[in-house]
Amino acid sequence: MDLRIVEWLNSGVGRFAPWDAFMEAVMSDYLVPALSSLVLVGLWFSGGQAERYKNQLTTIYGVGGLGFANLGVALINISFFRDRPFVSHDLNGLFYEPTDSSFPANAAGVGFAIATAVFMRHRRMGLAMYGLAFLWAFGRVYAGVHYPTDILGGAALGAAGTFLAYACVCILPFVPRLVLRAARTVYIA
Amino acid sequence: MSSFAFDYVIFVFGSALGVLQFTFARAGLNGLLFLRPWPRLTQVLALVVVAGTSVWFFASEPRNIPDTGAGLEANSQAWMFAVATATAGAAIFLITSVIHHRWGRDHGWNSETDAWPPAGVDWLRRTTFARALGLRFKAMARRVG
Repeated sequence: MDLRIVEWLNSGVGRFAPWDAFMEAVMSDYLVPALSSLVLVGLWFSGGQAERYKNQLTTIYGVGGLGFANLGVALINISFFRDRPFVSHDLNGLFYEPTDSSFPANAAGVGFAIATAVFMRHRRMGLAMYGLAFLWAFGRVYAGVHYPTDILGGAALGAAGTFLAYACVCILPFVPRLVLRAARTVYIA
Repeated sequence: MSSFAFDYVIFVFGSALGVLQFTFARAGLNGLLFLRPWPRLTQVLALVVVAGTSVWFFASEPRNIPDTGAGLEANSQAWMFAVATATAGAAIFLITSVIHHRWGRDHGWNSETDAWPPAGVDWLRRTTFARALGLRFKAMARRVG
């Protein structure tokens, strides 16, 4: 089933050049992570005085979630390795050939960690971020560098990472409070 | 630094400038806007800058390059992102402090009193970053002295 979805999606590669060019940009290592992270930067300064504190916590959840998700991927990769779909199957290439484990998808982990953090505070913006993360992950399956289950694993890890960051803040609320107080003193928060 | 890394830094720097100007304009932080009297125009131009730098980055050269080649490894990408974003923020703080220096004098805080100046970016609705920071250091120095 996993492979069938990859083969079905990948059969569309090369049929419509503008779509492929769009997907190449979307699935790259640079566009979605940079724009998603900039949304967190923007949230840091957005809103009125009362709202801003919650937005800044959202940024902290997002950054923390990103860190935990990457840590989770690294830990899983120590003991588990799955070949990329293009290694053992004849697929159309649209992306460079990564050599690391296919499962879990690091890209999905990053995208869904940030989207979950934003969704916890701003539903509509969060949905847009989920859309962006989904598009990024979809591109990786379309190009034959991930199986759908890699994406599901990465997305679950990303969301779990953000919830873990949220739990850390709930357990140690004085840490972000002190950081934000110091930042407010020098007018960067 | 490779030309690919340099291009990435420029892409993030430009996008961060746009995102920050957009956010400052929406939050009414006038002391941090390049075009202080025109917050709506600032928002439009900021989105154009974000879109423009993204299109430039991806249309100018192929960018799907592995980190075993000329591409950026995740850690390098993360620190370059942080440096480029911090530089964009610093550039905004510096430039707006210079161009709005006179406007920022009317900050609404009496420096003769013993109270601390207001904390947080909300004060930058009325004054500039450099002036706010300067007044805070002045109040601190007065207490130490």
